[in-house]
Amino acid sequence: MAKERSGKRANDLRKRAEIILAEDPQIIRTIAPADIQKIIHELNVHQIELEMQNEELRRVQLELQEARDKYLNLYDLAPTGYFTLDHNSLIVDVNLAGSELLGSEKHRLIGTQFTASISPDSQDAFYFHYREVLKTGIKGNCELKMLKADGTPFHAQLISMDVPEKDGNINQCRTAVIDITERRRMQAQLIQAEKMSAVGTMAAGIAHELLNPMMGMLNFAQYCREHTAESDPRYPVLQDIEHETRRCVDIVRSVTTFSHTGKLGEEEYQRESLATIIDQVVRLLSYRIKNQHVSLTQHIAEGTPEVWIETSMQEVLLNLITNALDAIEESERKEIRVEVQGEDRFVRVTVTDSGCGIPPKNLGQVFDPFFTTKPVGRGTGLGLTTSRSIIDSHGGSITCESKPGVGTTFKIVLPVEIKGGAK
Amino acid sequence: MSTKILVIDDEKVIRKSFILALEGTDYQLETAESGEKGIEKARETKFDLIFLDLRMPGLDGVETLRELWKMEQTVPIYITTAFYDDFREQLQSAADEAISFYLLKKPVDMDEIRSIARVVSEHPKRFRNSGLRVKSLFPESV
Repeated sequence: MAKERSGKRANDLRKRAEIILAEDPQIIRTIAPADIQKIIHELNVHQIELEMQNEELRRVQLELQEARDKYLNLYDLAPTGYFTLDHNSLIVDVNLAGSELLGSEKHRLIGTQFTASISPDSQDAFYFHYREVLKTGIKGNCELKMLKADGTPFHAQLISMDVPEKDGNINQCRTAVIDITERRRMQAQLIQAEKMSAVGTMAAGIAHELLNPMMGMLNFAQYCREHTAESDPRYPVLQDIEHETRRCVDIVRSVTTFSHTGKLGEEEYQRESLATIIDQVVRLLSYRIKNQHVSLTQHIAEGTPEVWIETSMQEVLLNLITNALDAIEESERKEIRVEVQGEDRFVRVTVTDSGCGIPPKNLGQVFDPFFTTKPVGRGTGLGLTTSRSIIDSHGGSITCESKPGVGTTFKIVLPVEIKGGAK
Repeated sequence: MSTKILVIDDEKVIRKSFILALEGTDYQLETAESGEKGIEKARETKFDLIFLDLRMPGLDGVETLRELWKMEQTVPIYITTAFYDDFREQLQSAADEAISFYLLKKPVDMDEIRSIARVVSEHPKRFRNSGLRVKSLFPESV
């Protein structure tokens, strides 16, 4: 295209030169033959020079074309919304990301007011921002609320730069618009999490300090109640004090549990391998296992998925393995088998011991609070109750099978995908 | 011979709780307000049961536990604390060294104090070297 145009121009020049020559043929006749030779040489050199210049011009023109295409590509296809605005903030040009951001087509936007996309409560902020950039010619930055074509609001960061014209005047601005709604949300979340974490740490500190005086209150109230006749009207009041103190203790305990993890709600759950937890528990009990000459075997099926668990899961396994150790204390065969296996969308954990077993009549009660078959001084009767409530909170189940004289198996089934059961 | 019990806790209210709980019983109760004083008392008297706080100024509970263990390895020691998470690692390494102790979560009420005292005095052998117990594994009432 460019080549064609320059060729046509050369032809025109040629024609005009020939006309001049035809009008005055004397020009050639009056020149001496030696001079003609010299002129021809000069002309040849000129021609070559001109051809070279021509070539150079063509190259530069192509380069310019390329640069322009590149610029258009960069502008149009940039991931950031670009708006070129005139001094009245009318949209002169907008790139694809810009039109996408506003949910409108490019040709509908060009020629319209940019302020139509600024939320009413941010109009002033935009006005000051834009005026400042036009006045000072310094790159400006501001955050404000904008509206999409359908009226949906979003938070935007605007970075505006002047586009100086040849005469040095500033009549246009190029404004980059970045949707920062998500960034804003994350920032707010982070601030909230930090606040909660600080509150949690403080609450834990307070809670810890409260437990000592509460132990005093509990015991002092009990002491007074014990030294009061049941017929005394103060007796039930003292009972109430005791009861309410225990309630306070429960609240304080839940605060310490909550804040210990330093995280919120669901985040207490972590995706972890049960094999790791079992290892930790076995390590914790290693002394006893060795001392009692117990053969503890672990069978972790390959490819068992990780599950969402809370740190309390360690307590469950600790309870089950401690129970197993207690059960085999008097047995001849001292074996404990811990198995972990993936089953569809569940993971199954079983703890089997070769202990004395549980009589069928007691089997239904093992998870009941304060039920224990252990001799006095062993066990609280709360271990399995606590374990079951922990498993429940994980959305899983725990069951028990036992044959007297053969052994007992506790089976836990945990869902792989669900985080914190019904949460 | 009556059972001798030592309570080591820097909080007066805790020591007093133990005193009230065991008042009028045959148990001989001694209290100490620091790890150092507790060790001193343990040197003078052979106790049958020790309740030990973790967070104390001076020698903390775990350091006190080690000292007590060096002296005597048959006394059941109940770590009585509101919050043992801060000491988890130290407790774990103590357990790894085969130091035997029990963990008891505060608040501990009178019934628990008495039942532990009773069980220890009635079945002292059961508590010898039985290893680590975790989380309020206190003996319950008969």
